[in-house]
Amino acid sequence: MKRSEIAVEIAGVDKVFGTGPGQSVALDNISFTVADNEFFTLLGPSGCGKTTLLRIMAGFESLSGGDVLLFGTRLADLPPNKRPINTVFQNYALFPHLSVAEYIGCGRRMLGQGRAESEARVAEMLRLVQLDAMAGRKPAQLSGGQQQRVALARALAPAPKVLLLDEPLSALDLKLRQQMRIELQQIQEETGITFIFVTHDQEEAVAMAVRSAVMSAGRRQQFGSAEEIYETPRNRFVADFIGETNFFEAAVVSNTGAGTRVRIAGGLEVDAAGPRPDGAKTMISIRPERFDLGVEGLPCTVDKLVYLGTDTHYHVRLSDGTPVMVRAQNHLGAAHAFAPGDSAALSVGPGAARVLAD
Amino acid sequence: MSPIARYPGFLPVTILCLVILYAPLLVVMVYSFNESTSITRWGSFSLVWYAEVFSGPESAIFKAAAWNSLIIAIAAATSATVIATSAALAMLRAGTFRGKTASFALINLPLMVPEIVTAVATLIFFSAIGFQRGLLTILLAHIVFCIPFAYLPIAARLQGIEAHFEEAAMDLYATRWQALRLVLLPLMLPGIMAGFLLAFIISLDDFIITNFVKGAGIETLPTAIFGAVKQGIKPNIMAISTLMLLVSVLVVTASYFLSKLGNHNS
Repeated sequence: MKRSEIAVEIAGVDKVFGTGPGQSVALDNISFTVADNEFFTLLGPSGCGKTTLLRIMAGFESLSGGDVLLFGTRLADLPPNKRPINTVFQNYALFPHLSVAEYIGCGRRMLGQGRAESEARVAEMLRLVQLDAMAGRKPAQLSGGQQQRVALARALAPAPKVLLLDEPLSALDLKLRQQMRIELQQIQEETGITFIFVTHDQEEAVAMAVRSAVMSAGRRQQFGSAEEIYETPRNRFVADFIGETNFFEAAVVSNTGAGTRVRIAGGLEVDAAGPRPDGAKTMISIRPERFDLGVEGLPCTVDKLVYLGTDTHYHVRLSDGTPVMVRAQNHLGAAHAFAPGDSAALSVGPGAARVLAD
Repeated sequence: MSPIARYPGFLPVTILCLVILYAPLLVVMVYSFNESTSITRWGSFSLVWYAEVFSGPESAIFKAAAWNSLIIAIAAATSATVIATSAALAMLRAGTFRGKTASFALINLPLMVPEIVTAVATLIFFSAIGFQRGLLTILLAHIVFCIPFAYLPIAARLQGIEAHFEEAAMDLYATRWQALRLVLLPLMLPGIMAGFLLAFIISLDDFIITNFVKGAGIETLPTAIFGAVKQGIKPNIMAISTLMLLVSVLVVTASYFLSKLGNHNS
């Protein structure tokens, strides 16, 4: 990536709350870059520091170390109102005493724009979020989804260089959330503003982002495209957090040439991609959908199955008692090939197993 | 029937309390319309004592006292409200600072200290520094004891306003001052009004402290009434008392509804 294409650079950011023995490290040497005009997600469980990082970018928290650069400019010295960055707050933060139109026009007027110009922008934003009819309403008269759109419109109206979204969809029901995901992506493409979207919902992050940073316990765990993160998780946390997976303690059989060959529970030998393990033992991950449940391969017993429409989850047990989760697509006529208590056999295709660094 | 009403003796105790609290007030209100000069025997309905209040021989004293009371109450409530609003912002929005707990105690201490102690202490203080007693001493004393009364509804209101609102304002390019003026203060307004009215009414009917710190010849309505009562209770006192009661009830009701209104909005 050329430097000019980098919108935000997070460079070794540390954040420590409190002092002395009571202090807690919220962010530990976080680094990544967000490209201009990108839809980027910051993903992690609650308490991982993602909201703190967002608040540092917005200017509501100070840095303990490192730097945040916006198109090459240090942000640390600028107060929130001097940063060309806007935030969509998790609880929307709509002012109860202002109407929708007044609220959306707020940012423009603070920037010293004329009334006519600001009104034109408000109308444009109302069209963008499809709230033309609601201009005169107060927040208390809007539904949750409408409030969410107002919060988005008011953050977009000043045409910021970067838009920060702090779990903006978490208060909406599933249908509305899915619809808003698509709308957010369209709005991002239409406006060309860089979006940094914070979420704890891995499905949401994978569905929306071009690239993501996965965080846990104040540290960056992995950084890359959704596919990279899902297919080549760097460590156990990422493999576990993004989607479902099976972990196996594996013995290294050979560690030369094209890849690593390992033996897992039940004596199954597989080729595993990823970092070369140091010792004779390593941890590997195999996604449930990478297994084939059939009649040839490693013998196992079906404990339980969960029918989920598009696919079926099988909880199976290897001969030595190791539980394994298998997911099979429900092709027409192929559903429920096995019933609980049935004997079956597991096989793994090439490239399914992944060595985890830690 | 609510659960508490099922306790034995609930109704008699309630009635007893209400009678003790309100019967004297009721007597004063009723007898203020008594035509007779007697304060115990009912003659017939009349507004003569209200006329006496406004145009009788003592009306000049009462008018002057009423003006003093009003001016002091408005000035004291205004000053106390400004101070209480600043205090609430500091206590609830400025994060932690050295002496925060002590500040909180000091703001609310006047509520706990017996009024007579405050009165004596204030009098001694003014004498010690050689401050000429007059309207100004009354005003200063009133400002001080009004602060906690103004502070309580303002702080309660501010506590209900999320910090996100100020952050959202600054996110929209408002300076700290603009965030305060355009977002926080409008949201706090019902609490500020309630605090002002409460302070106003507390100042209006204060007797003990006022009586200690007032200068010679300067009366507020409560001290003027007390002075008149010392000469013997005439029904015009009942008329004045009824008028003051009316003002108090109106102001306290307004204060109550203003704080309700605010909570409804958020």
